[in-house]
Amino acid sequence: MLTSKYSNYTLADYLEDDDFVRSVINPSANDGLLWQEVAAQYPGQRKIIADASKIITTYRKQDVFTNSTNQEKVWLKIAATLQTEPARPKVFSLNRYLRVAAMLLLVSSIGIALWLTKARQQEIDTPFGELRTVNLPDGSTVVLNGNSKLSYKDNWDKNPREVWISGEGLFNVKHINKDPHSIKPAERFIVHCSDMNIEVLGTTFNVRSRHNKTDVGLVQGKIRLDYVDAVSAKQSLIMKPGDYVRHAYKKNVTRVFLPAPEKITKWTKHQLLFNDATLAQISEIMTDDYGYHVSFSSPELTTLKIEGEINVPNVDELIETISTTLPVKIIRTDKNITITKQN
Amino acid sequence: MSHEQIVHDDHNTATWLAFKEGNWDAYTRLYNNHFKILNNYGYKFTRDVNVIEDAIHDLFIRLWTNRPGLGNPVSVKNYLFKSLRSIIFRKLQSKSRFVDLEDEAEHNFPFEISFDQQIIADEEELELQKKIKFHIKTLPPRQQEIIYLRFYEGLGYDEIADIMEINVSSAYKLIYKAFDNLQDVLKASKLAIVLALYSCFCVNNH
Repeated sequence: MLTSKYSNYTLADYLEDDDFVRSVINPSANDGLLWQEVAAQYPGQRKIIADASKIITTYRKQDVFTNSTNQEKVWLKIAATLQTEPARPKVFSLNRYLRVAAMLLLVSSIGIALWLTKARQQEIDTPFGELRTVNLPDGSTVVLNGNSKLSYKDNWDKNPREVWISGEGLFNVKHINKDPHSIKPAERFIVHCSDMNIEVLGTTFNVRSRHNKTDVGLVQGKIRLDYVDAVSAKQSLIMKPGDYVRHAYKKNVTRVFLPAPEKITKWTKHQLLFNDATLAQISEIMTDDYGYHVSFSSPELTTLKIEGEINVPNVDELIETISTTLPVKIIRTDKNITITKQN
Repeated sequence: MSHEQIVHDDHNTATWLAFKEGNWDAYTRLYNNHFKILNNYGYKFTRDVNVIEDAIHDLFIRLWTNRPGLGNPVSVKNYLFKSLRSIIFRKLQSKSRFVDLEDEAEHNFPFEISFDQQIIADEEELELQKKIKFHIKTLPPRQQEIIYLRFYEGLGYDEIADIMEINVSSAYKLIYKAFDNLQDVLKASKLAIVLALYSCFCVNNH
């Protein structure tokens, strides 16, 4: 190979040069000679070559995950999935038509086997304003708020207990771990949200995961949050009773302490509970949980705040409370709510 | 492409052809030759080992059941990387399926390498590693992935473009962006990653 093209190479040029990068990653005897020749002909290149190769080799000294302990296990699973066609090796010595037939049989029987053996996915989906208590396979319960979705496999034996939530739910998780120092996979309970996973040991806690952000309030027990994004300063966070954490994908985490954490579960009794809430916060709940469409005649109205606690049993009373405490007029037609300034 | 690489790929290509003929041993070999590197690549997208294992399972089931219709890829390894990547993305997406994803294109899937277990005694190299680590972390995931495929897997731009399902000019653009972004961080001149690392060398060497 001609060495002349390297006479004026910069460090960047080397990093962009396929031959160079490959020779650093996977050197052969020839490569060594080539770069020696370049360095001999253009002494200025010697250090640049050394530096470029140091950058690459240093970058390459990174952690490797081979998962080799599970190599056999995953293979057995693959083989088992394909095992449904018994005389596999023989079939392929048969003629073309039989091969096609066997292939069809293989494919369809794999499909049937997958369908039969796979734990089925359960999906619970609540309409606006309606609560539902879900009993999970292990005896844990979830009270789902309106406009919320919960999904899980109907068969949990030996697998970690896993649920996916979008919306709000109050979890009451059954404690099945005997020894807190060794948690078996089947004893784990994980709640997946869009931006975090919540790892649980027998506990009561509230999750509200909407619009790509998640609020978690812990009433009792202990849970660990594992953020899905790497950007959050901390990878995970252990919560203690009374902790209330708000997190959004790639946004900072806020953490406050609730003096009376059980209040965050009020919605499960169809109670609407707010504390020093702005109209924006209140309208979010009415929109997300009850399906109202709330519009404001001017944007500054959304920042109006009701000091103190509101605790009402339904939206009608909530509207009543707002219109008596704040200088606003509320018009409600079916599911549309319009909030205007009071004249 | 270096000598070893070619030999390795030839070997894989022979295995691939035998596998397509329905040779179970070849299929097993294909699995055993790639299980570790597929895990390593998958681990960059998710730390959930179950997701990676499920994806590898699905990938190999799909290979066996679809093998009459499969082509002959130039590089078997690249083909497996590409397939695994798209299966993992689909799995990660379905995990968050209740979230509206219209503005969350695939560029939001994480990509993370780690140096935590690397013990480097040489001080100069340690300093360089710190710099690299710092700058890499500031890049968006897809740019980090390009750097990984380029300098860890040793792939060319055309191969990277194929695996990441972008066109070659986007691959170029992305790597320039990677340099550019670093420039912003460093407030230094063009090709900042390189120059920054280079200057760090100079300082350390004198």
